[in-house]
Amino acid sequence: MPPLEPLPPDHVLTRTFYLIREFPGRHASPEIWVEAAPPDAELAEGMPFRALNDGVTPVVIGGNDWAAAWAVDEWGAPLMPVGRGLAGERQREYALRFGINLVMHVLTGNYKSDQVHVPALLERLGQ
Amino acid sequence: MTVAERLILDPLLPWPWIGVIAVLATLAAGLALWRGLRGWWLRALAAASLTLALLGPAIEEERRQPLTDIVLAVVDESASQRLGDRPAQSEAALEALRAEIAQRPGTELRVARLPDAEGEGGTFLMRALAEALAAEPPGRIAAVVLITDGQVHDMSALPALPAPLHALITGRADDWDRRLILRNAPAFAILGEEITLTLRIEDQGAAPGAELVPLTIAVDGGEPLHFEVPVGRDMDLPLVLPHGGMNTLRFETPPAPGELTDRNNAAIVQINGVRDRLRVLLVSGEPHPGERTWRNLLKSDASVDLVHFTILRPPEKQDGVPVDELSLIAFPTRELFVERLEDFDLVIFDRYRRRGILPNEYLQNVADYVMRGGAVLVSAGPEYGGVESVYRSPLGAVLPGAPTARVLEEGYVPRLSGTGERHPVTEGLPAFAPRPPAEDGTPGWGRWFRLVEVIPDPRAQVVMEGPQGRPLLLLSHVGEGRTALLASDHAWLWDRGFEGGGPQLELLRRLAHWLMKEPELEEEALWAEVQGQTLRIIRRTLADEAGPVTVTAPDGTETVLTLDPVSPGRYETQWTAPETGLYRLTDGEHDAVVAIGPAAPREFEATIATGDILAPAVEQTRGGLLRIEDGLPDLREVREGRPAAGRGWIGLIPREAHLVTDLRISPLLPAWAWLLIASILILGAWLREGRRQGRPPARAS
Repeated sequence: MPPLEPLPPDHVLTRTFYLIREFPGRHASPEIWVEAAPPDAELAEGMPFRALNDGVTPVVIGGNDWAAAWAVDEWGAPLMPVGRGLAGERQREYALRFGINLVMHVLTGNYKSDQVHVPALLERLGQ
Repeated sequence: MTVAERLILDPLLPWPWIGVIAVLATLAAGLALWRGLRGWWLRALAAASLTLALLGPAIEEERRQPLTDIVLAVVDESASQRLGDRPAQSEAALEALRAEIAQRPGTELRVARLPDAEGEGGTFLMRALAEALAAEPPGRIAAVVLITDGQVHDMSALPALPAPLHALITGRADDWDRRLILRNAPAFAILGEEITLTLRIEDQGAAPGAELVPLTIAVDGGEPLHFEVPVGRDMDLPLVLPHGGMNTLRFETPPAPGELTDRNNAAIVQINGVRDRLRVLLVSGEPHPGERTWRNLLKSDASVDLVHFTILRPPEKQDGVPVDELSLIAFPTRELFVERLEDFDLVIFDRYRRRGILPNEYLQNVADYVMRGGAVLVSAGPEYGGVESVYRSPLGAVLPGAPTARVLEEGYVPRLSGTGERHPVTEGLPAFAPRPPAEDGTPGWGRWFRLVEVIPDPRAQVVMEGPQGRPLLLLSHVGEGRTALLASDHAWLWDRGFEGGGPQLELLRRLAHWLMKEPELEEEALWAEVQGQTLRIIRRTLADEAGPVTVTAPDGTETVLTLDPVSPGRYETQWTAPETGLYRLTDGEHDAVVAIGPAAPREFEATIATGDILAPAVEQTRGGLLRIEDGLPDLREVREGRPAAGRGWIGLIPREAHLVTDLRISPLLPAWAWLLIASILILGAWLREGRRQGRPPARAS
């Protein structure tokens, strides 16, 4: 188990597909832990995000019971209630978005992290 | 044999004691004089004779054997002394010197010869002189004669000379030489950036004064380009390296009739072409497990600028989520595939499927880019066999395999094909596997589970195979460019260590570099590695055998060598080159140029014989500096400190050195003689004083 840290606000997990700021499941605790960035990761000049470790965090720990929020029966109806009324459905939507981001993070790594360099790279190519 | 004698003192007591005794004796004699003793002078003489006896005077007798005087001749036999008739001149001068010395009794000649220095040393004549001097006793050296062309590279090592230094300079007044000088040649250059070489063709000595001379420039042993260039002027030569890796450039001006040597008419420079940054465009058609393998590979290389686009959401999928809640950006297709395509060294389509994102014109653009020298790698997933395959686009014309629409989903161990064992992309790859190959030759790496069946293009080389020999990795030369097709997207299983994993990193790295025309990964190549004087000639080929290689030495002699197979597709031989210089290798199809030692060694930098370098040293000893061409000098004897050379003669200083064969020391007088002398003097003094005492003055009463 690598060293962990609470999910920093600039973590790639917040923008691998959807832009998300909170990670609710059936519960909406903000406490989520991921692998800590190496101590030498710094804010590089002109780079709005931290260049986090190139790989993917091997573990995401949180107590929000995401699987319950995602679970559906054979007709696609949710198995567990999430929150109340419309706000609850919105929470379920966010839970699904978090799930998609998680899968995208596993598949594409920090692809979205270096997307921000692409304009700079293209700029450089022309020279 | 001569005998020499001299008087020496051999005191019996230490000098201070003798001094004390002498002082006491003088005081005693003084007292005697003061007291008016009549025998005072006899007392003084007796004391003096005793003191003298203590000093022990003796005769030293030396028997001497005269020794011959030595004339030391140092003959420069470095490479520049082998030009023209200089060897004959040197030998004639040495013979004349030998004959002259043979006529002189008591004089002998010692000859030291100076060969070429190791490597790019030059003429270390002073070092040779110092060594020769150290071997002879300095007292016997009558003269030192250097026979050389005067091009000495170690004048600072001039030893202290006990005798006049004479220099006999070879060469002729009408000698001239043309040489090519290459200044500021860099060892590395960035591809695509202009570097400037400074080139100069210089005539030395009594040159005929040509204004323009021909110059040929050949790159990598290719067809030479011809130019006419002025003599004696620095020329700036702008150059852009044609490819990465070692670029061998050869500059040559043909030998002019009458010049001393053509060894300095060529210069070879090897410049390592380094890519500034490798620009790779990776287009992933969808997020999939192998994507991170590509990213890890390309991002782990600090010299790669990766521009990566993943099609996270194809245009046909819309779910009404507001754009500001999505982390999606538009794929800048026009910028990448129209405006900036030429800036990329490699374009990778990773499980890309046609989804209306890239119009056919853009893919046509990519195909044209390959024809013009670009590189495209397609890493195919099941979509390659489908209707959305990139093969069914204008890009298909340059791809090395056509899909049959069949996708095999079964476990298999990828294997090298017969071509693959020889191809530099896959050659020796099983050695990188985590396990040694099994007995039936199955490489020791993990299985893959998907293969898109393809029919190879006639131009393509199949280097890896899947089940039942179906092509897995195909390479193709298209136009000026290259394409490759990996008919499976399961290379990532090797990366993750499934069943031990496999050398995915090495394979994909070599594949990418081959696509970008790294010279080290050319299929057909002839090159040589130099180690000292040994050439290791290597031929890599996809053919079943390699023809003989003809080696052309700097002097034009040709040697035909046959190469021995060392591994599939690799043939080698070792050959010891007879001399330094440029060697040309050819097997009829491929050419290579290799330089053993410097192309134009230091010896050939300045070839015109001159006395200017040696003149200060010669003047210091008042010796002579003569050109052999003007006649050989006589030998004359001179005294030390006098001018030791003149018109047509050089001087040697007679040393009269000798060897002492016998040394004998005998006392001047025996001890008893001293005793006798002292006794007589003392007795004399006593008698003289006693006689006076014997007649006392009359007493007055």
